[in-house]
Amino acid sequence: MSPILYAFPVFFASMGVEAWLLRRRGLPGYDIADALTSLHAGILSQVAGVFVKLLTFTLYVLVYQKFAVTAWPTDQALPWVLALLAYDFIYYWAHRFGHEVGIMWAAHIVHHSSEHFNLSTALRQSSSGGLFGWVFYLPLAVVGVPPVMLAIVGLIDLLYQYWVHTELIGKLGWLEKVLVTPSNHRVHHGQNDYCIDTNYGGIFIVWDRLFGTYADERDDEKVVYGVRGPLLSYNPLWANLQHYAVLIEQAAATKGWRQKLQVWLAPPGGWHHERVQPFDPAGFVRFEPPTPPVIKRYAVVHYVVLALMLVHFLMVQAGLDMGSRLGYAAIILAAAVTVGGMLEGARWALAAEAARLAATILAIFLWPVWFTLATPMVARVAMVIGLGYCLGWVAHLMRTALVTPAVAPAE
Amino acid sequence: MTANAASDLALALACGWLVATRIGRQPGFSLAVLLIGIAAALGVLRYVGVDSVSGAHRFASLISACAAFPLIAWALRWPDDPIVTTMAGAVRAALLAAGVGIGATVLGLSAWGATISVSAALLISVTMVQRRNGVGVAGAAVLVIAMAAAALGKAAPFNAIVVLHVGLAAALLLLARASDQRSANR
Repeated sequence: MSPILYAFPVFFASMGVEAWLLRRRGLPGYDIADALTSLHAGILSQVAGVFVKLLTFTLYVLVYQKFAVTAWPTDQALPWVLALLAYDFIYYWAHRFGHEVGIMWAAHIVHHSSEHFNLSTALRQSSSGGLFGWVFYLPLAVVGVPPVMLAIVGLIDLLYQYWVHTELIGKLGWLEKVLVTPSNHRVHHGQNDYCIDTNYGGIFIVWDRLFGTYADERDDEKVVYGVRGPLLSYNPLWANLQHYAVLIEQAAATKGWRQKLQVWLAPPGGWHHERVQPFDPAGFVRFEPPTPPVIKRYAVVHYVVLALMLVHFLMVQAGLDMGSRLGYAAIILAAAVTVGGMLEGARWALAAEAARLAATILAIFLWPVWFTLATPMVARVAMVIGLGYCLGWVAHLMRTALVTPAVAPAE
Repeated sequence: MTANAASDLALALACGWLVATRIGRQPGFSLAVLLIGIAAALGVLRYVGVDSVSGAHRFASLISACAAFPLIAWALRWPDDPIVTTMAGAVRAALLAAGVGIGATVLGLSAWGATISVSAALLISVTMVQRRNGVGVAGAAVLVIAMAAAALGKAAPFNAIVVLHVGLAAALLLLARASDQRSANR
């Protein structure tokens, strides 16, 4: 079972506490639509991870088996500490490349597409990042870091980064010099001029200080979160594909195969870091389409269902054949995409949601065993009633056109 | 010191000298030579008896085959391309080529590295012939001979490993010279 499942209760409890504290202190709280988009992206990344990690972890294991010079002992403390340090060092470079190489930025931009900064942002993860990051860690296989050690220190590195996605915690004194903290990570998520391409560290910020990418949070200029080419969408699939689409467009417009290749390899700012437009924090306008509260509530309810489906998927996927895995993944993807579309008021979303609900009702009738989960008749009837109610409500929305005018997807 | 170790030392020294004298002006070529030099240095250790580095030597050699030779070919064929005129570009190209190559090799396409390096040697040869660069043609010829010797392996009536190492060292020195000549002519 995926170890990340054990962290889920902590994630949700801490987000609840953060939202409560923000409200108590009179600070801007969670934007439901934005937070749900982050959580939907998190769900998609976990689902995609099942397929991506199958490949990339296999590659690490094979390299370890074929080329490792030794095997680090797993029953002593020092190798674990060294492995964590080495992993974090490599993470710095992999993360830096994630910002400085076109195709890797296309994968990583998802995590930066939120214009808010809270614990939910930490869960807004890429679905395709794993396709590129694995190669950086292969030297660890060669020097003898066992796959299980890599997996555990990788998980520690990932989980550490959760708590630094908050505005509630200020500067932390001398810790700012050593560790990645909420303050220096806020800078990393900023689109202000001084924030671009800074603070790539995972656990230790010393790598940034060492390699010249460190920037302190300024008191005189509030960090504005997000990216210069805004997502302008709550669709988690589009969040994962948007920048790939930009690169495809650029490559198509470029003549010559070498130039086309370079579109994917060049930094987002070009090979010679062509000057980008100066950023005016005062002129920034957040993406906040007027999503009706009733749709937000609908999205929250369906997120809960989706989260339960994710937990079930992660628990049973190892025992499913590839077709069933892909089918279950497609069901989860469809739910996240249609609900995201409803949040942004996309015209297609209501019809797509109605079709999804109808298909789910049909599936419950046709398959009494839901991917190894045998559901009693009472539960199936309850689900059909619930989904039927949602379907009726969506149909009502389609008739009354309650949804706000469509928001154009990002350029 | 064995002949294998001595010849790998010669290759490592040649690579070291080339990197030291070119890193600023030919980043792509230098990075490629650095990768080959690392493999050679690990080879020295392996052949003097440090058996534990055998895996690292084979891994570095695989990276050389998959990434270094294509990068050299690129640097000679398209010397003004940002892929080889900037270290950032060279590192990206090397990572991409190494990632694909390692992935393909460990998943069973064991001939990937040899195919890529031979293709790169052929591209270098064609480029040098087209440019009528005598030193370059000689370098490319030595490179092809060295690779052919490596392909023969134990079936060769000579020590194929020594021929590979010495041949690579000579080829890299000649190709670097050819690259300098082209830069001077332009």
